[in-house]
Amino acid sequence: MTNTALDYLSVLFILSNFALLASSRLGLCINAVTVQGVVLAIIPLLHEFEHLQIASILLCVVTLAIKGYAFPRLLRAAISRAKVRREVEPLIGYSTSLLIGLAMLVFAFWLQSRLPLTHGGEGILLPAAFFGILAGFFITIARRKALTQILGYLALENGIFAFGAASLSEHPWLLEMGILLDVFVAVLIMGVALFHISQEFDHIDADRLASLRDPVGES
Amino acid sequence: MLQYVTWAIMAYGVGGIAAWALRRRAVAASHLGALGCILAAGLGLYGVGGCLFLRQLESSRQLWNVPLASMNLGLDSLSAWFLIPVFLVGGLVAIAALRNLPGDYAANRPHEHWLFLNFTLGGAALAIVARNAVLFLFAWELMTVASFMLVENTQRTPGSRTGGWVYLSAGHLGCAALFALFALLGAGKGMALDFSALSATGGALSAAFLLAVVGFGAKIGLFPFQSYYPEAYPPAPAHVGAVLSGVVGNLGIYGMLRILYLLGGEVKPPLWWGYLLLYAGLASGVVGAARALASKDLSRLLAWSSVENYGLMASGIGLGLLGASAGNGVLSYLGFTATILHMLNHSISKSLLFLGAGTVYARTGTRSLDRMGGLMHRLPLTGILFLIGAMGAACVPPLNGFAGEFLLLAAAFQGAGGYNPASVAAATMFLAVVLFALVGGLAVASYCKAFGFVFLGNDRNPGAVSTVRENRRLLLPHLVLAAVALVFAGASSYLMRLISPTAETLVHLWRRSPVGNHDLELWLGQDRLTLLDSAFVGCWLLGGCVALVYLFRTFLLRGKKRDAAPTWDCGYAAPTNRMQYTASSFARPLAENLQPLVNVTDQEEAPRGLFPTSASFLSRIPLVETAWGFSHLFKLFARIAGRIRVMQAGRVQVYLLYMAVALVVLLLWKL
Repeated sequence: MTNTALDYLSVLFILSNFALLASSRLGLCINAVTVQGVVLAIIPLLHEFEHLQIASILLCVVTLAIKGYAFPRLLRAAISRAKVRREVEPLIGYSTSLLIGLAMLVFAFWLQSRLPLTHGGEGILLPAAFFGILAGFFITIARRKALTQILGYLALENGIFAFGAASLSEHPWLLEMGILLDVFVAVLIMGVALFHISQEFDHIDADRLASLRDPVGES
Repeated sequence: MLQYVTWAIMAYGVGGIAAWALRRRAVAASHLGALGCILAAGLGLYGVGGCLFLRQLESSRQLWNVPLASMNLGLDSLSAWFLIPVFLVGGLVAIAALRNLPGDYAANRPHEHWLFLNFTLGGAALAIVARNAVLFLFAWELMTVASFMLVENTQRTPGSRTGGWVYLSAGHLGCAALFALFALLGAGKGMALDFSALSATGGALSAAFLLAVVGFGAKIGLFPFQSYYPEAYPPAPAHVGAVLSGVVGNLGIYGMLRILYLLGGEVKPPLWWGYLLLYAGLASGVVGAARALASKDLSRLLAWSSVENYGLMASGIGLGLLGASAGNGVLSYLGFTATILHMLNHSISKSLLFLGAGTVYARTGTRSLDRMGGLMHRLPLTGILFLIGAMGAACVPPLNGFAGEFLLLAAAFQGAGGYNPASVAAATMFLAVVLFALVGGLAVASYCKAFGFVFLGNDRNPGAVSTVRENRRLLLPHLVLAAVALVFAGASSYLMRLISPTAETLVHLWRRSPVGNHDLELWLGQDRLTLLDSAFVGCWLLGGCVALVYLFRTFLLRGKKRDAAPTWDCGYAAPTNRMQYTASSFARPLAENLQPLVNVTDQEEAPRGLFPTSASFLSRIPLVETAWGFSHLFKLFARIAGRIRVMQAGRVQVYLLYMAVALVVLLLWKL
């Protein structure tokens, strides 16, 4: 039973990443990341369905609170403050992004067959996690708005989180608590930076920060 | 004894940082900085003396948290010989600089000067005791960058910085070769690139030797890298010149000798190694001496003379290698001994000269030889000390520099005797003898020029020179250096005996088996002791004759009145001091004969008619090679660097892409 449920959740995780790749509306992207957070909160529970530990339940609650509630709220506040609703003119278009996402999914499944793992070889959680890492990284590269890049970063971290859940047999919650703490701090810092960028430049387009670099062509 | 040297290096570090920390209090900063150098000199010389007299080899190894590195230090006699100038010259230069710093230094930023001086000396000392490639390169870089800062520190206008930049770029060109050298020697040698683990075989051996010649040769202006070398000197304060010529340059020679330890082994070095260094050294000797003769700037003259002397040392190593290839132990021994002996003597004499030049600059406010003159009347003691330095650096008997040059000549004669007279080797040796003599002659001419036009005659620029009496208390460092020079001159034979174990180690790098060493042992037992002694007895006899003639002259002039009168002025009614024979005129006949080496160009507007209205004459000596060779090279580098710079796009997304690509490639690579 648990394995089937795990597969369904993995599929949900993959689909949410595709939604992230294909959507231009920031609200929908935030929803996709929220779904990922909820999925990730449930997965450790499914792993230890027969003998639940207090730590696992605690991790589930904390993950839900942070990824399912705090982050979406924070990000929604950010888009209403910066007055952006859509990612227009991404560096790589949405249909191309979807195709690349498909390629990454294939790569992730191929990778699973090559990795020398002792645990987590069965099921599709591991490729789903890899796909999440790749897709998150891709979004940080292919999108223009700093907010979308934060979403990409969150997707990347979710992928790492899922990888931990899939590949560690004992005490994954130690690792996951660490990741959660990292992400929480990072998102807080990025939120502050985002606020300052929008205050200073009247936009949150990260690529236009290029005007801050060294001038090229002088020596 | 190694711990004393380690403490000395720490004293440099602490002194420099303390001077920097006290930047708001100029006087305290200067004194702390100088204290660091002096303390280091005391500690270091004690440690070095212990090493040389107790004949101990010491090493210590600590882990260092840097890839391929370890804190592996060692003190053997080769290191000890090269540490002597670092500590001695460093300490004396610090004393001189404390009292004689130019006004703008003392007022503005003495803390920077002391920071960089301490770090230059500390870097040099660390490089000499380092026994790990990474540590060595670290110290080498520290020394190069700190000495560049030391040169640039007084220059506040962009135009005058060119010289220092040229020095830095060329230094780093050499440094790149050193990185390649250690990468080559350390390939596949495990975790830490300690010197004891480095080695090479076959073709890599020769490639490593070439890289070492390029890397270390760039530091000493070895032909064909000579043209940049003097560029750093004209803008730098004179005592910084003493550090560059008396300390930093020696590291190039040290590096070449140290690398021989890593390259030595069962296989004898190919003949071309020795020929390469011998010819390159002779070429830079001749070019350096010719350019020194043609220079108009006193600092530049001294710098070209350093190129010449380093060339002689490099050719000494070349002779040593030729001896090793041919199995001629005596030739090898003489070559290596001459190198180390000459390094010591040159450091002492050249720093003495630079310190003297500093006193002269402070007094005249100019560095142009054509505008000085007659300083012997105002600065008699400075003049005498400068003369001692000049005779030493020109290798004139009976002063200290002569011993090294004499041993080089002895080596060349020894080598020539060992070959078939019709062979290339014998011809090379004879050519070396001739060129050594030529270099010596040119050096004497350039120091006649340096001493004569600064101190003799009358002042060419009267009014500019202050008439305050010479402050003899400021001449303490000069006096110490001159005393050391005289002691080295008198004790040359003893010094040679002290250097002997070091040179023998170098000879035996390729002669591990006792078979075939009899010639050297026999020679060491019989001829060595008399070699320098007999030479110097002749010198002192000659000196005695000169002294006798002088005494006879004073005896004849006793009780008679002496007058000063102008020399014959061709009947011109109103001669002035500016009409004296100038330094450029003095050098001109020789410079014209050395035409391809020294490019004399004249712009002349001759007077015309019976009543000429205007006439002018301008004579310059531009540097030929800087005009073409190196500028093309640097333009090429600039173009390549411009291309690479496109990577620095300034977009966050592009940087993320680099990271993603790197991670995916690493993942796939390890699968």
